[in-house]
Amino acid sequence: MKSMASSNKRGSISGTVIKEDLKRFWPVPVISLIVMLASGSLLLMILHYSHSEVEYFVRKCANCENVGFIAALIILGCGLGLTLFRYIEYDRSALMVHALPFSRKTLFISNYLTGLIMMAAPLFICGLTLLPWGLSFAAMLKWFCISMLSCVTMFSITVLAAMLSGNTPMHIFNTGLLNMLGLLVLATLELHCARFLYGFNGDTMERLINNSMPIMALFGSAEAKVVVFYLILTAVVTAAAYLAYKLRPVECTGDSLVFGWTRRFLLVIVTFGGMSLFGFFLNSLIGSSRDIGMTGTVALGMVIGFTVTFAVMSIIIYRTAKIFNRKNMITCAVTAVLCVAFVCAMAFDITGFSSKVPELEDIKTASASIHEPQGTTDQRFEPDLFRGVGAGTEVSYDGIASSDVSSTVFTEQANIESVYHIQKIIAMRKDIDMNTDFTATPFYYDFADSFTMTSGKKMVRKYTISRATYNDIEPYLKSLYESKEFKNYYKLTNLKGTITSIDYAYSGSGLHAIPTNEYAGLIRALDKDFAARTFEQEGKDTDNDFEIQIGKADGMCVVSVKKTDKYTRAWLNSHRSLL
Amino acid sequence: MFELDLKSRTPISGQIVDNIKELIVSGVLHAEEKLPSVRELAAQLTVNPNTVQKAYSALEQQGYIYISQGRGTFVADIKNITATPAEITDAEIGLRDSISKLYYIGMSRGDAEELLRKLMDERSDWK
Amino acid sequence: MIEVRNVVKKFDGVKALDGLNITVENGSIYGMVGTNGAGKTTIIKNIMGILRPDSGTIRVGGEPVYEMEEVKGKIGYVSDDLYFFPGYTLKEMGSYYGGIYPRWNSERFLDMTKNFALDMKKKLSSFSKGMQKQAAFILAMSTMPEYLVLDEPIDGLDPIVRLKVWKYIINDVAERRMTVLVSSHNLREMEGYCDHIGIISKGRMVIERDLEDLKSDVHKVQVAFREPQENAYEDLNVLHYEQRGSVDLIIVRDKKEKVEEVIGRYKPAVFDMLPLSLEEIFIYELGGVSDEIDGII
Repeated sequence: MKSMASSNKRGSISGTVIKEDLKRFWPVPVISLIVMLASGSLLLMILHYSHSEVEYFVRKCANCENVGFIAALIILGCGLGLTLFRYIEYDRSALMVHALPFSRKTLFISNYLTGLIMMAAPLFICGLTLLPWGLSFAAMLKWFCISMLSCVTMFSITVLAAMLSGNTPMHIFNTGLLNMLGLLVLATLELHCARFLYGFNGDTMERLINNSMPIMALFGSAEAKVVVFYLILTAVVTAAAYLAYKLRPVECTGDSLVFGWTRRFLLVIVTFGGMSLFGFFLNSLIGSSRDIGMTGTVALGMVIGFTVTFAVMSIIIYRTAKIFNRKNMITCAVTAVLCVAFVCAMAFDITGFSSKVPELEDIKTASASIHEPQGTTDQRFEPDLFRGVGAGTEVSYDGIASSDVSSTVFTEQANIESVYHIQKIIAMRKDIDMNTDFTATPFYYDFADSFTMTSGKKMVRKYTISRATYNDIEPYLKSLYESKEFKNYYKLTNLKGTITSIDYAYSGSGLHAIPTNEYAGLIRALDKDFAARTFEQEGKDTDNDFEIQIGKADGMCVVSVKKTDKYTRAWLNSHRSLL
Repeated sequence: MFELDLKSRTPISGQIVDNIKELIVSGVLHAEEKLPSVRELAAQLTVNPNTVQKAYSALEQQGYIYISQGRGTFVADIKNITATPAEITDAEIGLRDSISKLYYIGMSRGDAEELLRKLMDERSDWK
Repeated sequence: MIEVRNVVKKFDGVKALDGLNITVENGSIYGMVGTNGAGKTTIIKNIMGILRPDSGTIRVGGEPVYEMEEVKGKIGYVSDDLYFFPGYTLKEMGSYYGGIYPRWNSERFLDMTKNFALDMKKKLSSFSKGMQKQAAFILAMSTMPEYLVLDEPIDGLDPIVRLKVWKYIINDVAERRMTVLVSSHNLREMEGYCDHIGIISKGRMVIERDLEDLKSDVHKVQVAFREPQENAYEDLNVLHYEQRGSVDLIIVRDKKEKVEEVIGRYKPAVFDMLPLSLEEIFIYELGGVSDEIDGII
C-alpha cells in the first residue's frame, strides 16, 4: 500500500488547494494583467509620446487615474473573491468539498492565500513593466502596496459577501452592495440632509464619500490615517468572513442569504435606500433642485420607491412571488415605521439644525464668506494664499477646494459678533427662505459660515438666501469686510511665500511683466487701495479686463483692479514706460 | 468451489454450511484437507466475509472443521459426528413434505418404502 | 465503528432526523434502507461531516467527524449527486485526491481505472452518468479508506460493473476489515451482500439487526386445517393475516420452533414455512408503522 503523496499540508494551509486553485482560476489574474498592460506599458509602446508626455502618463498610472488600471484592480479584487469561494454556492460542489478531509479553517486560509498570491503577481509584473518608462522603484513599490491594499480590501469584502450569500446572483448583488456600502449610505444620508436641513454644508460628507471607496481613498489622499483605516477594515472584514464561514450551514446552499437575520436587515436597508433615491430622483425630474423641505413630489416618490423596492427585494430574497405572508408584512410594517420616523425626524428637523444659533460666549472663532452679490468680487480672496492670523486659514476641506465661496476666519470679538448676528438673522428667516422658489426669483445669494466653539466643536453651514434676508445681513457683511482684521489678512504683504513674478494684464494686449525692483511700489499702492475700499466699492467698478497676476512658487494670486483704486491707477500711469 | 443460489430464500451462511458439509460428507473434501481462508472464500464467492465467518463458526461448532491458529482452516475427521436435534427436526419437516407428496400422487405404501430404501442404498457408506 | 446517537436534524423547522441511532461495527457491511424521505441521505451527510446535527453525537472510530480532517481522511464517500471540478479528467481528480488523502494508493487507482475500462485522460463531464459513478467509486476506494460510505451508489450501473464494484468492496472488507455503510433501495442486492440491516422511517431507526437474525425472526406461513380452527394463531405474533380460499397466509414474528410448536398442535394439512426476503420484511415492518400497505403480496 504505497501512498503517492502524504497530504501537502503545513498547519492550516493546504498546498493542494492552492495548487488546484491556481490551476483552475489563473484566467482572472491573467486577464487583469492584460488589461493593465494594454492600458499601460503596451499603450506607451504603441503611442509615440514625447518624454514629458510619457512622464505625465506614467504619473497618472502610478496615481491610478488610468481607467484600465482601476478596472484591473476591480477584476482582481472582486473577480477573485467571486471565483475562489464559488464552491459554497452550489449544492453539488458544496457537498463534495465539505466531505473532503478539510476543516473550514484550512479551506478559508488556503483559498484566501491563493487570492493574495493571484493579486500580488500581476500587480508586481505590471509594476516592473512601468519601471523602464521612468517610474522610480520607490514610486513603483508605493503603487504596488496601495494597489495591493485596495485589491485586498475589495477581495475581503467580496469574500464576506460570499459567506453571507447562498447563491451566485445574490453573491454578485451583495458584492456590489457591500463594496459600495460606505458610499451608498453616506450618499443617501447626504441627500436627506441636503434636502431637509436648511443650512447643511455637504463638504465634510463629500470628503468622507470620496474616502469611502478604497481606490479613490487610497490613491486620492494616501494619508496615513486613511491607509490605517483600510488596513483595519480589511482585517475586521476578513475575520468576520472567517467567522461567517465557520457558522455557515451547508444546507442553506441555494438560499438567497444564509443567515436569517441578514435577510430582514438587507430588506430594510435596501428599501430605505430605494425609497430615498427614488424620492429624490423623481423630485429632480419634476421639482427644483434648490428646494428645501418635504414636498408632494418627494413624498410621492418616496412612497412609490418604498413599495417597489420592498416588493422587488422581497421577491429576490425569498425567491418566490408569495411575499404577502404575515412575517413579511410585519417586516414591511416595521420598515415603514423606521423610514417614516427617519424622514419625519429629518423633515421636522427635530434636532433643531436649521434654527441653531450658537451661544455668543461659546464661540471661539467664526468664519464667513464675504462677497458681493453681483459676483464682481476681487479674485484675491483665497484664504490659503495668505498667512493665517490667529486661527489660521479656513478652507472647505484640507487643501481640496470645493466651495465656490471662500471663508475667512475671524478672531476679533466684534467680527465674531457680526457673524453671530448674521447667523441669527438667517435662522430667524429660515421658514421664508426655505420655501422660496429660487428658479422663479432672479436673486439669490450663496453664503457660508462656520463657528468653532471653545469646546473644540464646530458648526458649519451653507445657505442660499433671498434678497430680503440679504438686505438684513448686508450691514454686518459690510462691517466684516471693512474690519481691520479682514483688511490686514488680505493685504498683499501678507501673502505666503515669495513672489516670483508679477504680470499685469489688460484686455487684448496680453501679459506684461513688471520688473522685480518695481514690486514694492506696486504692492504698496495696491494695499493702500484695498485698505481704503468700502464694501459697496468692492461690489462694483471692476475693470474686468484689468488684473494683476502675482505668481508664487505654489500658486497664483490674481488681484482685480477697481475703478476706484486711485493709487494703483496712479502708479500704473507713472510707470507706463514699463508696460 | 461451489455455487450459491442467491435467489433462494435460504440464508447464505446456511447454504455455505450445507455445501461444505455435503462436500465433506461425500468425501470430495478429505480429512485434514486445507480449506480456503474466510477472506479467500468471500472473495471467490463475492459474499460478505462476515457471512463466511458465520458459516465457518457453525461448521467448527458442529465439528466438521477445525481452525489451527496461524496455519489455517482444515477439514475435521467426521467419523464421530452425530445429528443434532435441530437438524433432525429440520429433516423431519422436509421428509414429511416429500412423503406427503408421494401420498398425494397416488403411490402405494409399498412402492414408497421401496423408493426410500433405494435412495438410502445410494449412500453406500451409511451406517 | 460508526456510532450515531440520538441525532436530531431539522430543516426549516421540520425534523428530518428525529433521535436516530445507528451502530455500524468494524468490518461490517451495513445496509441502510428506508422509505424515500426517511432521512438516509441526511444522516449520511451528517456522518460525512457535511452537515452538523442539531443535537446528538456522531463518532467514527471513536472520534467526532465534524471539521476533523484526520477522521475525514479515513472515510471514502460516493454520493448520489456527483461533482467533479469543471473540465477535470479522472487523472487530474486523482492527483487532487492524492494530495489530500494521506493513504492515497496510486497503483490501485491505475489498476482500478484499467479494470473498469475508463479513459483517465478524458474529461469527466463527457462520461456517462454510470461511468461517472464508477469514477467516483474508484476515487473513493483509492484513498484506502477505513470506512466506506455509499449513498445509492449502485443504482444505475449494469450487472457486470456492479459485480466488479462488490468484488472490490468485499476484498477490502476481507483484507483490511474496511467498514461499509451502504444506503440503497435495491433490497435484493442488499440482501446478498450486507451482514447488518438498519430500517429507517421518519428519521428514526425502526429495526437494526444482523440480517440473518432478522430473517429468522419473521416467517411467512401457509397453513390449511382439515377443519376450521378457532384462534389457532392466538399465541403467535401475527403481523399480517390473509385468507386465500381454504389456505391461510400469515406473517408471524416468531422463531421457527415456536411457530412449528403452535401450529403443530392442530395437525395442519398444509404447513409451509418460508423465510421472507428482505423486501418483504421491509414492506411488512414499515407497512405496520405507516398503516398504508395492506395485502400487497
